Amino acid sequence: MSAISEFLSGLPSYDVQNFSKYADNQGRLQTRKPALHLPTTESPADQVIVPEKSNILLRYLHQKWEKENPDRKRELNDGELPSHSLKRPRYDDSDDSG
Amino acid sequence: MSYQYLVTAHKTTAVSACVTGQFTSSKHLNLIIAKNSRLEIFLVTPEGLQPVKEIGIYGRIAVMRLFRPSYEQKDLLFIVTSRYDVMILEARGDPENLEIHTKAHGNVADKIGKVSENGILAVIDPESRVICLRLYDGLLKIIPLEKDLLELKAVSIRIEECDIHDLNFLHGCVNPTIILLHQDPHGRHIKTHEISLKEKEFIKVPWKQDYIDIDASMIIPVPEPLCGAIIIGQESILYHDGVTYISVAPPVIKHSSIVCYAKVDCGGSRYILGDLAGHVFMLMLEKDEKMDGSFFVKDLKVELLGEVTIPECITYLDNGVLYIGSRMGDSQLVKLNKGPNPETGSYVTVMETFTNLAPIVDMVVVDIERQGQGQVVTCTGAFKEGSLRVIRNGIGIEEVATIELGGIKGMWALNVKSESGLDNTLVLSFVGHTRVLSLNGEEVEEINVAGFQSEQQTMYCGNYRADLVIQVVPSSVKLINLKTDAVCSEWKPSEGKSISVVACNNQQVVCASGSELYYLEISADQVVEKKHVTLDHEVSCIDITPLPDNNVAEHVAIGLWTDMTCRILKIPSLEIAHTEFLGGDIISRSILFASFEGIHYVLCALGDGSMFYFNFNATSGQLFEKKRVTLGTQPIVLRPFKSMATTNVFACSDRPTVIYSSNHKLVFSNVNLKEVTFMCSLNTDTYPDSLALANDQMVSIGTIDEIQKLHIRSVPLGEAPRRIAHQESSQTFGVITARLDVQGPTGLESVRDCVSNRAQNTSNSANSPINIIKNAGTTQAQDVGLEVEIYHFLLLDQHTFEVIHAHQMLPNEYCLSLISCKLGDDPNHYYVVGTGLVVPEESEPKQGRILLFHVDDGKLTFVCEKEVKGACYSLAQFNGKLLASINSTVRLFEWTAEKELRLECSHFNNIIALYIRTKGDFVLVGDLMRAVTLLQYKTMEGSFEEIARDYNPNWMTAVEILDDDTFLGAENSFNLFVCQKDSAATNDEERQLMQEVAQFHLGDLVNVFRHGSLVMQHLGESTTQTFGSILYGTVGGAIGVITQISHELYDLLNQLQEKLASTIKSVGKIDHSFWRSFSSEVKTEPAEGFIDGDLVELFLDLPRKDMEEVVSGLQLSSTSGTKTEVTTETIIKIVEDLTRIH
Repeated sequence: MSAISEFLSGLPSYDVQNFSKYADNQGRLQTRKPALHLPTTESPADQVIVPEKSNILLRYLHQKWEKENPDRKRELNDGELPSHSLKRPRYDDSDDSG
Repeated sequence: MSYQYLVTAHKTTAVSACVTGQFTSSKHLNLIIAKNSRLEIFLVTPEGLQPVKEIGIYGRIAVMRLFRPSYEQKDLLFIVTSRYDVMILEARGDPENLEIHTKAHGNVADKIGKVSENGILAVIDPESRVICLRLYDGLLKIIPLEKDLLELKAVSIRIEECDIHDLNFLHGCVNPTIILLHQDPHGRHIKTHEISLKEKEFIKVPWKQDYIDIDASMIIPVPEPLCGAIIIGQESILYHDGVTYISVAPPVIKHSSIVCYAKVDCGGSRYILGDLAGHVFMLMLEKDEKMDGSFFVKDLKVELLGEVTIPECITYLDNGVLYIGSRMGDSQLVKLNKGPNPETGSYVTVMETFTNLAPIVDMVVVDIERQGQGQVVTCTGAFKEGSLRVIRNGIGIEEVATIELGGIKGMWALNVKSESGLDNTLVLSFVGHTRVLSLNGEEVEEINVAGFQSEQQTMYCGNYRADLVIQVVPSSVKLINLKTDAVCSEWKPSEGKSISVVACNNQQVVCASGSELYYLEISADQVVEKKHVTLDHEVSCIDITPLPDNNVAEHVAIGLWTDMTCRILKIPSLEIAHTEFLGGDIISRSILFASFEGIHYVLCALGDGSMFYFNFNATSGQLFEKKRVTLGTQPIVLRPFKSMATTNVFACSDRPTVIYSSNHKLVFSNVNLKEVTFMCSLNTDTYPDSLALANDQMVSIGTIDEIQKLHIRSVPLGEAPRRIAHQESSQTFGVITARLDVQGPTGLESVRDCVSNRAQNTSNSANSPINIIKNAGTTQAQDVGLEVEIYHFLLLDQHTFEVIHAHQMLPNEYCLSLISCKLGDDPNHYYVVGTGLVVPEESEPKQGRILLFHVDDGKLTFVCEKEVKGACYSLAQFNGKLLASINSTVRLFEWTAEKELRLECSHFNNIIALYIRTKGDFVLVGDLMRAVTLLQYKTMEGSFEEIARDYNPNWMTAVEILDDDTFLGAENSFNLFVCQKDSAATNDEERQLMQEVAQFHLGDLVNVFRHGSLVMQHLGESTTQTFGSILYGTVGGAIGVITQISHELYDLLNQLQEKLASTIKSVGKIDHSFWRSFSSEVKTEPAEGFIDGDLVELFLDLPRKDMEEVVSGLQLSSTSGTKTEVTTETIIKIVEDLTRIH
C-alpha cells in the first residue's frame, strides 16, 4: 500500500452524511454569503482581560531577589522590617508649607 | 473643511484564517473564515456549506483560534486584532437566531515595546489553561484562563529568544509548555519553555534543539499519544519529541515554501501541507509501538497530492473535504480522492470556488457598453492566480440560445402535451398576430395549436392545467382543451368592445375594455363572468397576482388614465379598497403585486421609466410607504420570475433591471443587457430555470446569475497583472503582467500555461538601444532552478479579452506604470509604459525606460523609447505632455514633431515620488514616506512650483485629487486622510502647509484610487446630494466608494453614526470610535471628516423600533443655523439614497 493510499483511506468523518448530497446541488446552489449579524441587545461580558499592572522589571527584580535570598524572605516576614528603622519618619505635609 | 462619505461596495474577500470546530452547537460542525475585519460562519451539511452568520469585528483579525475548556460543551473562539484587542466569543442560540456572546474581552497593548516584525502570534494551551501571545520582541504575554475570575490578567514574561518565528503549545505536558522556533546570528533553533501558572514565569527548558533547517518557519504541535512537534523547513521536515528526532528531506517540497497546514485526524498522524505554489502535500507520521506500549514515530512520509489555489490557510472539514482559504486567488472547497485523476495524476478535485478580488493591484473604470454606467476592471491576484476581474453593478444573464425574431409584444411559456410536465412551447405575440414555437431540445419549430387564435395579438397565455390553456386576445378570453384540440369555453366583452388590458393568474382573469372592468373565474373548464363595473377612467394597467402560497387573489391592482391613480379593488366585488394618487402627468404602464421576504409590495411603473412602489397590507388592501425610483427612460413592463426559489421581478425597459429584496429592502440591480422589451420565465428540459428575453431583434434564452449586486467576471491570466489601462480609440486594454520563469540549463523556461504565451503576436525589447548590461544568457550552474520575473506589456481586446499582442521587456526590467494618452497635436493615442531596471546590488534603480506603443488597425506597433535615469513609478497625461515620476523626481516630457520625448522640466525634493495625479495645471505627488505635495506647472516659465505640502510623515500607498483644493491619500497603516491647501492664507508659510482636514482608519490597504462610479449616474431625484465619486481597490480585495457630502449632511450622519455605534453592539466590545481612529506607528487620533457608510447603512437593517430609537434626538441643521428634528422616514430616505451610490 502506497503512502498516499494509506493516507487517503479512512479519512476522519464527523458525520458520514456531510457533503454526501453535494453533487446533487452542483450548479444550482452555490454557497451563499451568510446574513449579517446585527446585535442590538447588550449582554455584559463574563470576564475582562486586563494587563498586569506591576512593572515587568520590578517583578523580575522581586523574583530574582526572592530566588537569591529564599531564607531572608522568611526572616523579614517574621520580624519587623529592618529597613523600617532606617527610614526617617515622614513629617506632616503641613510642615512643607511652613 | 471637507466631508466624506465612505462605503464598501464589495467587501474584502481575501481569507486570512480559517478554523473548523463545533462553534454554534456541540452537534454542529462549523467552518469559520476570517476576512480582514469580518468573520463568516458556515455549517457543514450533506449539501455543502450552509451560511450561518457574518460577523463584523471592529478590528483587523490577526489571529483566530478555536478552543474548548473542559467545562464547555462546544468550542469558543479566541481572536486577536492587529491593534491588540483580544476577545473570547461564544455562540448562543440556534443558527437562525444566533447570538454571539462576548465572554471575555480586553486590550493587551503595551505602551512601550518593539513590535515584532514577524507579526502577532497567539496560541492556546491544548488543555485551555492559558493563552500565550507574542506581540513584542523579547516578551511573551500569557493570559491564564480561569473560569471564575472576573478579571483575566495578561502578564508579560521576559524571554531571551528575541527573533521568534513561530510558537505553539506542546501536548501532553503537566504544566503548559510552549515550543518556539527562533533565530539568532548562528541559525534557527527550537526551544521549549515550561510555564508555571502560579509564578507566571518560565520554570524550565524541558528540551531544545539547535541548528535546525535554516529556513524553518512553522511548528506543528502533535497531539497525544505521540506528542512532540513537527518543524517545517524549506527543504526538510523534522519531528522531535524531546528525546528522539527524525528528519526527512523530501524532494517534492523543495521548489516552494510551505506556508500552512491542516491537521487531519485528532490522533495527529496525518496532516495536509500547502505551499506558495499552490501545491498540497500529505504528511504522515508512521508510528510504531514500543515495548512499554507507548508509541514512537518511525518515519515521516511526504507526498504531493495535487494543485489548488495558492493557500493562506487550510482546514479539514469532513469526509475528505478541505477548505482552502486564499489571499492571492479564489478560495476553494476541494475533495481528496482515493485514487489519482488519470489525466493529471492529482488526488484533489475542486468542488467549489469562492470569488476573491484580492489583492487589487490596479484597476480602471470604463463604460464599454456606453450605458452610462461604469464597470471596474481590476488587476487581481498574484503569481499563477493572477486574473483580470470585470466588476459591474447588476446581474449577469448568460445567453445560451437566441432566436432571431423582431417586434415581439408579448411572450409566454406553455406546456403543450409535454411528458415531463415542463414547458415546451413559447407563445410569441406580435401586432395583429401570434406565433407558437415548440422547443424540442435545442430545436425550435413553429407549430399550430388547434383552437388557438393566431390571427390576433395575444395579450395573455398560460396553462390552467396541463391539458387546458388560457389565451386572451383583444376579442375574447378562450379556454383551449389540448386533449380535444378545441375551444371549450370563450368569453367576450359586450358588443363592439375589445379587451385593452388583462391580467390572469390561471384561475382568475381581470380584463378591462376602456373603463369597463370585468372579473372572470375559471371553474369546471368554463370561463364565467363574475362581476362587471364601470370605472371613472380608462384602465392603463392591471394585475391579479395572488399572494405567495395562495392560488387565488383577493385583490386587483389597477392603474388609471386621466386621474393618474393606482387603485386596489376587492375581489369579487371590485369595490375600491384604496386609491393612491401618483401625481404628475405620466401614465402608469405596468402594475404588479410582489412579495419579497414576507413583505408584500405593489410596484407601479410609469411610461417615463420611473416606478413607484408601496407596501401593501394584504388584509385591508391599503397601500403605504410610497417610494419612487427611476429605472430607465422608456416605459417599463414588470414581469415576475423565480430564481433560486425566490420570486424576483424583471423590469423590462431600455435599462433592464431585476428587482429583489435583500435584508428586507428592495434592491434594483441592472442587468448586463442593452434592452429588453418583454420577458418570461422558461423551464424546459434543455433550458431549466431560464429566462426568455425579447428585444427589437431577437429572443434570447439565458440563465440568470445568482442574485447579487456586483457581477464579477473573471479572466484568468496565469500570471500576475500589475497595471491596466483602457484605450477607447482602439477598443483595447493594455495590461502589464509579471510571469515567473525558471532558469534552466539553456536559458529561461516558462513553466506554466499563461496568457503572455498565448498571444497572437509577440515582440520584445532585445533590440533596445539602451546601454545596459544585458544578461547574455551566461547561466551559472547555481542559477539553474532560480525563479526570474519576466514582464510583458499585453494588448487585449476589450470585449473578448483575447491577447492580441505581447511585448516582452528586458531581463531584470520591471514595468511599473502604464497609461493610455494623447500627446501634443499628434492625433494618435498611445500606450505608454514606464519601467525600471533592477540590479540587486543597487539601492535603487539607476536606469529605466519609457516606451510608447501605438495600436493601428488592431496591430500593436512600437513607436519609440526614452531612457530615463531611474525607475518610472508613475505616468500621467498632462497638458498634452507626458508627466513621469522617476525615482525622487517628477519630470515633464514634451512630444516633439519628430515623435520623440524631450525633457522640459523637472521637480526634485521627494524621497521616492511613487504616485502622481493631475488636474488642470496642478500635480499631486504621493511620496514613499513624505505624504503628498502639490505642484503647479507654470506654463510661461515651463517649470514646476511647489505650492503646498503635507508635512506629516505618511507612507503613501495611493493618492487622488478630490477637487482643486482637496486631496485624498491612503497610507500604509491602513488609514485614509484628506488634506487641503489653504488658498486664503495670508502668508506664504501658511499657504505652503497643507492641512489634514479629515482622517479615518479604513482597516485595509488601498492600492489604487480612481474617479468613477459603479452605478448609473443621475438616477432618480435623489434628495441626498453627493459630490463626485472615487472608487478604491484594496489589498484585501475590497472595492469602496468615497464621495463628498455637505457640512449639514455630514453633521446629521455623524450624529446618526454615533447613535448607531451605541445601538448596534460591537462583537468583542471594541469601540467603533477606536476602530475608526487614525492609527499609525507615530500617532493615534480620532477619526474626523469621514462618515463610516458601512455602519450608517446598517440602519436600514434595524427593526423599526430600534430605528426610531436611533433617530430620536437627531437634528438637522440648515445653512441658516436653525436646527430641526428629523423623522425616521427622512433618515430612511437619506440612507436609502446613500445605498444607491454603490
